[in-house]
Amino acid sequence: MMKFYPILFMVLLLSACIDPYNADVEAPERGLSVEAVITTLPGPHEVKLTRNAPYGLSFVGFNRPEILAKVALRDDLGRTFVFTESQDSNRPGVYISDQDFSAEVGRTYNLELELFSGKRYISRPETVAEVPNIDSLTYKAVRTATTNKYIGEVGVQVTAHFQDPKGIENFYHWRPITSTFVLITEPDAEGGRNPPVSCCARCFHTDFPQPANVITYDDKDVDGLYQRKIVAYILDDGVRFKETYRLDFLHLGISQRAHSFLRLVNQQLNLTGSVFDPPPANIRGNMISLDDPNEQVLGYFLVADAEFMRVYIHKDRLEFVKTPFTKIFLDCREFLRAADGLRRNPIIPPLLPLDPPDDWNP
Amino acid sequence: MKHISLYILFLCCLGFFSCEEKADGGFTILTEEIVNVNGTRAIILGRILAFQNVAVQEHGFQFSLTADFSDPIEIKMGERSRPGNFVGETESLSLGKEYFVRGFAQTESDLVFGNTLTFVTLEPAVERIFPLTQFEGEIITVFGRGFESSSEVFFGETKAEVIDVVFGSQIRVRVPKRQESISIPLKVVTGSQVAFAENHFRYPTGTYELLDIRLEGIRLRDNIYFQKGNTFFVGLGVDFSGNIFSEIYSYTQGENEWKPTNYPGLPKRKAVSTRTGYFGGGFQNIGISATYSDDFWKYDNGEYRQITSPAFRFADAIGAEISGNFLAIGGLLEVGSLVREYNPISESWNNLPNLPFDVTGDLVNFIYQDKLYIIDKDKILWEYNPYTASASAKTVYPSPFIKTVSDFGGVAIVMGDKAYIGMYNSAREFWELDLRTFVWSAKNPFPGEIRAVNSGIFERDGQLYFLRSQQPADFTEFWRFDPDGF
Repeated sequence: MMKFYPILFMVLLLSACIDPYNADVEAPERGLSVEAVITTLPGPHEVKLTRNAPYGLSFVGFNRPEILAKVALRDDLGRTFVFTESQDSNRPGVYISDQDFSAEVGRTYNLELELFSGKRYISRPETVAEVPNIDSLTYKAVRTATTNKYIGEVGVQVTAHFQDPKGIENFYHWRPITSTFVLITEPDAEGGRNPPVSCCARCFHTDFPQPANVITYDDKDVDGLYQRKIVAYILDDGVRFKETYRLDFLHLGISQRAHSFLRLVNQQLNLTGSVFDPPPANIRGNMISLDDPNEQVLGYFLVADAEFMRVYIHKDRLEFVKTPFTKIFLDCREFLRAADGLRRNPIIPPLLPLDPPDDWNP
Repeated sequence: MKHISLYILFLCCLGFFSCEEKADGGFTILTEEIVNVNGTRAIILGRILAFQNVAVQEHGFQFSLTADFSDPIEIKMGERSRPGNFVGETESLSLGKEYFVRGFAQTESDLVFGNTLTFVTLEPAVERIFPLTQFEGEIITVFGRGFESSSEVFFGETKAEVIDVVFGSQIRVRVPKRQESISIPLKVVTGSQVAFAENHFRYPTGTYELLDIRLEGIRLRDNIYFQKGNTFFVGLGVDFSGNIFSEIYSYTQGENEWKPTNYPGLPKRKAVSTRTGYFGGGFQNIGISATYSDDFWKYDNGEYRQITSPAFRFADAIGAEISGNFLAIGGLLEVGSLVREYNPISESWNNLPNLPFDVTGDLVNFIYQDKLYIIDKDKILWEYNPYTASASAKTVYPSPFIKTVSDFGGVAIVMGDKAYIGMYNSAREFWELDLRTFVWSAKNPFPGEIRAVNSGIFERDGQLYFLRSQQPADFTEFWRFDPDGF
């Protein structure tokens, strides 16, 4: 008799009911995202508004520009600076200030939005903190270990040297902007899919430095000391450092709140999937919905004192670069067009210029 | 002892099944931040700090003119159960006052207040009016601060129609019917306060008079014109039959006709010329392969005197007299940015730095304080110093251009510190530009036939005179314009 008990138990187990659990998950709404970096540099300045596609397992849609909004910047003197929507059809949802507008050190600003739907938003006040000037910039090639133990990552680190003012709480942020480099190709070399051509091997290409670091720093522990801080890192992809790379970036003095926000963004960007990572999260910015304070608005309205910085990185002054470099068997002018090999992009990319920009002065 | 494991199990069960009671714990109200203050409006951020849900029947903010919060203005935001942020907005404050604000929350048993913050509401002010001159029935914008949505705008004592108030800082208002005076004080009444504009609003002025002294049988284009004292000169170019016109006519104020001046040189069309009597270059005849007209002249003391011709050819170029020297700039025949200078003392031509852009003679241009001003096809007014080769954009011509229709053929002339610019092809608009402030003021539109080309413009005794060659007719009208007439 005892020998039937296990069989009976197995039969009972197999015939156990499984009820599906239908989790009633609230669908996330399309949230408003604000990208606004207003500085003391000459205008015009821009505010970009988008409506995010909700995050989910399946594709739900694209991020949409938020058009027909009213956008204004107010300062603590009661002045209002209205931003008007860009007339460029390729830049919907971008709102532009007057040419002669720039932020002033010591002033406090609020960004105010009124969407076409009537919803209103305002930023928490941001005060422009003065940023000390950078004395000099230096750069060096660095090699970083990767998961592939045979191939390390090569890149260029740029270091800023400046005096932190004593007795003042300073928060710094270095923001890369579109940079330019000399694109060297091998149009006359054998071995590519394209037949060798006699022209052209040296063009000028614009680039947004990668990876997109969010580098911020506070002087809590080093107040008043001379600073040497890494302000940018550019990955050597085998193309960027074949000759000269001109890095442009902004040296910004930001508020403590902006520093905290950017630090958290950097944390999230650097998640590696390890158990020691902080949990992924939406980071609350400084925009508040006046209709629903619990609505989460992504992005941050950042106002900062800024210094425009530029450094020419010469290949022959780097200790090493990525080897072997990437060979491009193309007329360099055709570089962007060749990248869209399947011609899926309805907009034909422009030819790269052979002449340097007017202000190219390596 | 042998049942001790059963006791432990029993205790564990009790532990698991123990009742959890929902507790309404304590909380704190924080008046966190004054987000924004503008005019009668203030936005305040508050926060309820608690470790669990709260049972709040009412919460919000109190505003008061006194620190003891007597007779406060309250913003009530209803009940809530969750801790967190709340935002209060009021638009019922008085202007120019110091206010105290604090958050509050009402529970069943208690009224809890947050910390107190203070702020000062700003006085309303009008910063500027744009445009400062406008026609009745059109819309202007009053820029300033602290404007309530119910603000009213007065032109003198006349209340105007407010179109909208944007962000409490811009009022769009329709200009009321023209009044006795052309210069009217403008004020904004907002709440109980009044803000005055520093500059008066102005209705456009300018009267046109068609003189009975027209150039009969002469209709010119691609011609030259210049002025010597109270004598105006116009001529060369192409006549109404499409033939080269090789005479220059003059008119002296007080006379009643235009007279030929017996010009001795080669015929010219699209010659480079100054408003002061230098001219030369251009083409001798019509057509694509027209011959270059290479003589250069200076009209002075009642006679034409030939001057040295430059080594470069100039046609449809800009001419200017700066610091007593004759500058020939750009044009069609050589590099469009070329600048050459004729020095009348040394009677020689020198090279000057090139312009940063190409120019042709159909771009409206004028000279003021030894600087050349050019309005390009994008309506930008450039100030150019030919000796330092520096150019800077100063302002934008306010009327619209229609490409290849109304973006050429305009005129410009300087009188005192003001330039009068406009009457482009097929357009009636005429503008006054203050060259000290670069503020544009509309003038009354040209009332005559617009199917005409401008053949010359002159100024004398505060009046402008201009010639309009009629397209369908064979004469040139002579007009007088009083910029301040109304």
